Amino acid sequence: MPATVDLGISGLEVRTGDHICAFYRGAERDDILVPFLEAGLRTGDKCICVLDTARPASLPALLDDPQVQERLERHQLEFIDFESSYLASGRFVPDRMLEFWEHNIQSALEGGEYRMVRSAGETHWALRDMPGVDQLVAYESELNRFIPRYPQVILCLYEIERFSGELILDMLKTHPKVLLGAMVFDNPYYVEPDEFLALRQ
Amino acid sequence: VRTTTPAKLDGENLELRTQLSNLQGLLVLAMLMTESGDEGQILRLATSSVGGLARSRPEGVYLTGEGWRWTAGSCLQETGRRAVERQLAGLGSLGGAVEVPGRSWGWAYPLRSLAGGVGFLLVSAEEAPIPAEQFLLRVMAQQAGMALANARLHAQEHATAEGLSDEQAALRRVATLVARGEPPSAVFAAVAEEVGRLLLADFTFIGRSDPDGTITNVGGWNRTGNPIEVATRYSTSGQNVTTLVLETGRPARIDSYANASGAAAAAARTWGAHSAAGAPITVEGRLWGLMTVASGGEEPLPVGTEERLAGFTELVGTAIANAQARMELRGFAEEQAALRRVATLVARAAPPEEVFAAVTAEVGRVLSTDVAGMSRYDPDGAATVVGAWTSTGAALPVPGSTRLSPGGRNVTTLVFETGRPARIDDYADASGPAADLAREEGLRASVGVPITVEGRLWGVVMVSSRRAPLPADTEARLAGFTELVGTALANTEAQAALSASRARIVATADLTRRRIERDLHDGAQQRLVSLALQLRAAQAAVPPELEEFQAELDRVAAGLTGVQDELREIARGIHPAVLAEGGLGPALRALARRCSVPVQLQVGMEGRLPERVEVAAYYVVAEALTNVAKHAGASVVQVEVDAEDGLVRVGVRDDGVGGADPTRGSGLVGLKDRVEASGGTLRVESRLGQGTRLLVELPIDAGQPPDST
Repeated sequence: MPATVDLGISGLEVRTGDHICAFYRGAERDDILVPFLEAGLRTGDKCICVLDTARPASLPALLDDPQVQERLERHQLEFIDFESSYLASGRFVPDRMLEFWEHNIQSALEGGEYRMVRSAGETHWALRDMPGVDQLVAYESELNRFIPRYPQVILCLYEIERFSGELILDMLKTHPKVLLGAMVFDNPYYVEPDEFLALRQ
Repeated sequence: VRTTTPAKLDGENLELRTQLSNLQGLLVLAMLMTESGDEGQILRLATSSVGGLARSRPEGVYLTGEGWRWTAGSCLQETGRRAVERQLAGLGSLGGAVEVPGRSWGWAYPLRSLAGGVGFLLVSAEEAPIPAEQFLLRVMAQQAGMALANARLHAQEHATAEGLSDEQAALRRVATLVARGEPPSAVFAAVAEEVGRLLLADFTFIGRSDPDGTITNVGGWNRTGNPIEVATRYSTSGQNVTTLVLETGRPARIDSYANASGAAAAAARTWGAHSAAGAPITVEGRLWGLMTVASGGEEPLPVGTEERLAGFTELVGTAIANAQARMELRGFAEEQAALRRVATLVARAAPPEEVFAAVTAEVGRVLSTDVAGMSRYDPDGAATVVGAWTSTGAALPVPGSTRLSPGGRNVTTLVFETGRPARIDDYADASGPAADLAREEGLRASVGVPITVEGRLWGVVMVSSRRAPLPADTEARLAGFTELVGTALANTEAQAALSASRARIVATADLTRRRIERDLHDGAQQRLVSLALQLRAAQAAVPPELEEFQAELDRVAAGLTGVQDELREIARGIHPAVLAEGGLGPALRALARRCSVPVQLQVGMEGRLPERVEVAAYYVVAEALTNVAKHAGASVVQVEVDAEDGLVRVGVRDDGVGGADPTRGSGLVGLKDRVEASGGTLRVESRLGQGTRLLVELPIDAGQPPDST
């Protein structure tokens, strides 16, 4: 049975295996990301955060905490930049990214130290003119097949003011849950990957 | 592990699910657009979602009153755009099909709120989208329209709130200045700037409406920061904001100076103003002036500008009223102080010249005039200037030397003729010698108030201005001073009369004494001498054996001589002949010799003094020595007499018991009267156990007290 997961944000809860799309405006990112990671550290989850930069200087509220520093040192919390993940080969290849997650999550759970992994990914890289970024929607849909295989929660961060209406519509179709304005919606019209990918053919 | 809904991949089901998903997405999108509240964001989300909702592309957004915002992907050329615009103009607010060059399908979706259309979203496609997709586009456009309308409403509210709070802050700052009692000039400058900045004007102007129908610029502001020239005067005529406001007493505006006329319009044009708004400034219910703002922009000032101005003119009115009240209060206090100073002079019987000079100066200062003066009337109405003052300290006719003949229409003559206050508001209409003098001095207006002394018209106090007519209350304020002048003059006249009468009494007494002395000398003394001679002759005829009789006759003769001596002493006390013959020195030496207390006499002068002075000095010493002999118990008396600087000083000092009271005993009182009748002063120092010192000063030639008339 899927267990309840504390999202850390104004008492919101999700379930293991949830793939959540978080829409935010500018400075709201840290209001979502920091509590989400803090809740993970508190409950002893492995936390993986893929940011636009490996030096998350933009998270001072989190990193000033000496306890968080200690968690970083023993790799409970990991920051990974997009160049060594999403665009590791200089282009975006959905299968490689899925392998990246598979590898990281497996190794996190192997030692038995963590019972769950919570991941957060920033998506500004998709706005770059790089080969393969048009595969983002297909990748997001594929993630829905990957997620149930491990005890995990994935939070995808989309800055409303920078992504197009079309992409937002696609994200609504590929994420079963949406976090918007301190609310989590169950997305009843989420389209399963089989359907979605078939439609895109 | 998530359990997914088993999906039947048949076309109908998939289509329905996709449609529902899109609708769900649209709702979220609508929420995002509404939440953003930013027009740019809303349009960006709307246009960028078009491709996701239907196989189509957005061409652009046409906003009513603003025009096109073309989408990056639009292939429309300039001519195509104009063709589309023409079609849009023909469409109703609900939009519809549009021919887009190079595309087989085009549609203008209305962006509208319940209140009306905001614009259109133009979408084109290679092929017409299926109805379900067109429905999605329509819903999306509707949602975007609502969001836009909301955003505009919000922006408007925000601007209003911000504008209001700016206005409140500006009003508060000005109100603080007013409450602090800043002078009106400071308030004018601050208000002009606050208003100019707040109402986005290029110029602000605060004008005072003057009684002559002109308007005077008393403060202003200019966006360029150049100072506005203050104190410029304009006539109020023609068609412009100034005349509109002053005529109606209400806010007014003018959207273009093209058809404006008059001096104010001409000035506005030189500043480069295109439109202006003004509001009246009323002070305690009276129209005082106005404040105007002007803009050099092509667009007229926003609607409501004149009403917003009114909030500030109210504060300006309050500031002016406050300042006026303060000035009145301060003026009143100054006037009281000035009157008190003059009254003090009067009370200590200062010489009239001093009073006149003080009165003209105080009057000039208190009434803030340029010139103040005082003249005395001769019986024929000619006026002699007795006091003059100017605000600049510049020289004026020397008091006493200028005599103005009566005649013509001028304040001096009017006051003489009517005995009442008079005024001239413009010397251009005046005549006569006094008016000529006023014009020579560059005066424009005068007010004069009569000075009456015990019911008689004595003279006139006048104030004059070089610029404008004097305020209406000038007469009343001057009257306070003329009353004091009248009192001062009455006092000095009474004082002079009293002194004269005392002098006359003393002189009469002196004359009487001299006559008695002469009578005694010529009559009684001579007869006594002849009686004594007859007695001696008779004695010689008496036989020597009648010793008893001889002795009796001797006693009679001795008694006769004693009577003679006594009579001589009496005569000397009344008016010593030695004084008349030998002067003060010998007379005092004779007094010293006869005094029962040893006298050290020192007379430090030679020659004779006026008889009046010698007599007075002699009596002082005689009376003082009598007192010393009778009461002091002294062992020695020092008498010093000296003449210097037109004064005779007489000092008598003993080493007796002291404690003499000059107010008691007729001796000292009589002496004081006599000394003061001669215009002199007497001082007694007599502390108990420290002897008595009498000091008298007598003027040698100031026989009469100053004559005021």
